[in-house]
Amino acid sequence: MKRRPDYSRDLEPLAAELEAVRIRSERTLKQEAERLFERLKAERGELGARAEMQRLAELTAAESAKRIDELKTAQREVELELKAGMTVYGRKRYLYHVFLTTKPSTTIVRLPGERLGHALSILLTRRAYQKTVAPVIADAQYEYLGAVSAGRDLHARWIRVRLYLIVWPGWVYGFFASLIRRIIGAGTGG
Amino acid sequence: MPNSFPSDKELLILGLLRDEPAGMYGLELVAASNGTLKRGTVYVTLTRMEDKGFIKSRVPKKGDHAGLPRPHYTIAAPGLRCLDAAQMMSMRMVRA
Repeated sequence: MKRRPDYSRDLEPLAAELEAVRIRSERTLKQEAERLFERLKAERGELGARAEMQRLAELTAAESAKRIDELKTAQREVELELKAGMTVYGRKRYLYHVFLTTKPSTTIVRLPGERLGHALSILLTRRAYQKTVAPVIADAQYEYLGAVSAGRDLHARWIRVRLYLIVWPGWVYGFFASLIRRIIGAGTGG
Repeated sequence: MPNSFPSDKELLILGLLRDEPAGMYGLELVAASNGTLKRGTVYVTLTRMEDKGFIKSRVPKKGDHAGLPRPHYTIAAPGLRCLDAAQMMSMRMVRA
């Protein structure tokens, strides 16, 4: 599975630059402004220096705001990219989850004992099949469907295997018992 | 003519069916017998009892599930009389 992309390193320099602008605007620019004011005061007088400082402050603020806007826009773009990446990542993960957990809603399965029942209905008499074999198969199918509907797949498989273990030995025993009975009956004339 | 004297398993089945007048399925008899009756042989016993007239079976045309229909067994009058007679006989033997 694809690993989640790491965008945190792209955001770090932008956040650092934003913080630097904020610090410069609050501390460094204040000191520079004080030095500039002293120089302008000496050149143009106090009123002229204040007017010039006001104009420069507006320009500096506008420039700082512009730069901050640029940085915030860049940060937002990276964040959007990050969000898009997460979306793609989340979608892929969701699809993977769906692939793993979703099963076909309709599954056609052969009930246990269908082929066995057909085979024994040919080999046995109609009465023997209906009275001794068919009820056993019907019980197995009833239990099998109950186990499948309850989601107990392993138990359902065991029911399928158990049906063959139950039916075949009984049928083989009955077949040989009836054969021996016929042989003895023929030998004794009965 | 089949031997009409009931075996221990047949008496057990008759007792279970007498306690359940609505009748029982073969699997229910196996479950209620606590291991005395087996899945593979219970229907042989039930067929023999049906031949003797102790019980009656009814196979619905449409089953209660998607597979083959399961036969439903109820006790018949001869089965009830046979069970009563067997119980009276066992009581006399205990007294003697």
